[in-house]
Amino acid sequence: MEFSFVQELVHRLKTFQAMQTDVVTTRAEQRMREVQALMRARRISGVPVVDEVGDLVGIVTIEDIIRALDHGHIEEPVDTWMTKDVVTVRDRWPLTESMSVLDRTGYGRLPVLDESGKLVGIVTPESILHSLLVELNRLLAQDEEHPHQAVDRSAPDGLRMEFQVTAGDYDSAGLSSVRLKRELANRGLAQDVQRRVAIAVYEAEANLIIHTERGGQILAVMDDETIRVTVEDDGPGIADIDLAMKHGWSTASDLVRTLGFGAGLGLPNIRKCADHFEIRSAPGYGTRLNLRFDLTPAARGDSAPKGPAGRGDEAGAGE
Amino acid sequence: MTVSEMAQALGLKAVTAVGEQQIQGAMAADLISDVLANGAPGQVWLTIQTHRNVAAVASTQDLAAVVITGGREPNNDLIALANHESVTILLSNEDTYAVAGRLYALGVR
Ligand SMILES: Nc1ncnc2c1ncn2[C@@H]1O[C@H](COP(=O)(O)OP(=O)(O)OP(=O)(O)O)[C@@H](O)[C@H]1O
Ligand SMILES: [Mg+2]
Repeated sequence: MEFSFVQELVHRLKTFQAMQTDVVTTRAEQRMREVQALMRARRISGVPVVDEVGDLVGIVTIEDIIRALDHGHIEEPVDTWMTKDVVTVRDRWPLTESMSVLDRTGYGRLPVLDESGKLVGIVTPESILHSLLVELNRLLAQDEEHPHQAVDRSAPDGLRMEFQVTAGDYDSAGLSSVRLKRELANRGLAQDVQRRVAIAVYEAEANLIIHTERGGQILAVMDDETIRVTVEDDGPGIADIDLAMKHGWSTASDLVRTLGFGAGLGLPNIRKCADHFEIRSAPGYGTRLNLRFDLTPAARGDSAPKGPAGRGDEAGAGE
Repeated sequence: MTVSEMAQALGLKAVTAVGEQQIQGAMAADLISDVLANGAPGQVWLTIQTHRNVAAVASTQDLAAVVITGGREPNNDLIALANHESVTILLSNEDTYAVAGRLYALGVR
C-alpha cells in the first residue's frame, strides 16, 4: 500500500509544485572565478546561466569549474566553460516525468522552464522530497478528519468520471454536471446529494470555461462513503483567494455576463454544497479545487448500511 | 398546481413535452449562479436567458419548468438538451414582471 500511495502522490503533482523558485543564476559574461565563489557561498552545485531576458543559455556545474581550474582558466568568462546543451524540464509536466529525467541523466538538478522558455525554477531531489512531505501532511490532515477514506477506493459500486472542459465553450456549460448527475441518479443516490454535487460541478465547470486560458479537467470518484471531485486547470490562477471567495466578486467580462455568468456566486456556492472544500491557486500556474461529499446511508438511498460489519461506521457519523 | 395547468392558465407556448409535476414555488432570475444558489427543486424559473445552459441549470436544480419571457425564442440546442433531460420549456410573450405577477395571483408563492 505505501508504495502505491507514494506513487499516487507523485502522480498528482506537477513539476512547478515541486520546484524551488528562488534560483541563483549567473550571466555568460561573468568570470568562472565569481561563479565558483557564488557556489561556495550559497552551497550549491550548479548555477543556471541566463541572458538579459531571463532565457536559459547554459549551466555551470562543479565539473565545469574543475575543468576550468584544471586548465588554469578560472579567470575566463562563463560563456567558454559552461555546459550549453542543458537538459531541462517544463513547469507543467507531471512530476513523474521530471523525476524520470533526473533519474535517467543522473544530474542533481534540472532547470525548469515555462512555456516561453523562461527559467522559472529548479528541481532537485531535495525540492521533490519537500513537496512530497508537504502533500503527505495535507493528506494526513484530511484523513484524520475522516479516517477510512483515502484507503478504500475500490468500492463495489464505485464510479469514476472524468471530463475535459474547453475554455470559452459557453454553450457546453453544465454538460459535465448533467452527465454526472444522471449517473448518480441511476445509482439511486438521494436527491439532495445529487443536487449538491451537480451544482458544485456546474459552477466549477463554468469557471473553467469562463476564467481559464486552456480549460481544465474535472474528476469525480465515488466509493461507498464519499464522492470526491477534483477540478484542475493550468492558469491563470487566482491572486487573491479571499476576494474570489466573496459573494458578488467577479472578474467576468461583459460578454459572459450577458449569458448570465459573473454573479460572483459560484465559488461560495461550491463551498456551501460540499462537505469539505479546499481551493489552492498559484498565479501563473493554475487553480485546483478538492471537494468531498459524504455519503451517509440516507444519502446512498439505502435502508440498511452496507459493507462488512464492524468497519467503524461510527467514525463517519459524528460530523 | 401542476406544470401543465400553469401552462394552460397563462397561455404559455410549449417547445418541449410538458410535465405533470406539482409546482413548488417560482423564481425570477437571469444570472445562472443565482438560480443555482437560491433555487430549489420543483420551482418554476422565469428568465430571459435562451442558451443551452438553461436546460443544464434546470436539470441540475430539478426545477419543474422554465418559462422564457419577453417573447424570446430558445435556440435549438436548448430544446434538444431539454428534451433529453426531460426539462419542460415554456414561452411567454409577456415580460418577467407580468408573468411573475400572474403566477403569484394563481397562488404560486
Ligand atoms: N479556475 C479559475 N481560474 C482563474 N480565476 C478563477 C477561477 N475560478 C474563479 N476565478 C476567479 O474568482 C472569481 C470568483 O469566482 P466565482 O465562481 O465565485 O464567480 P464568477 O465565476 O465570476 O461568477 P458566477 O460563478 O456567479 O457566474 C472569478 O470572477 C475569477 O476572477
Ligand atoms: Mg463562477
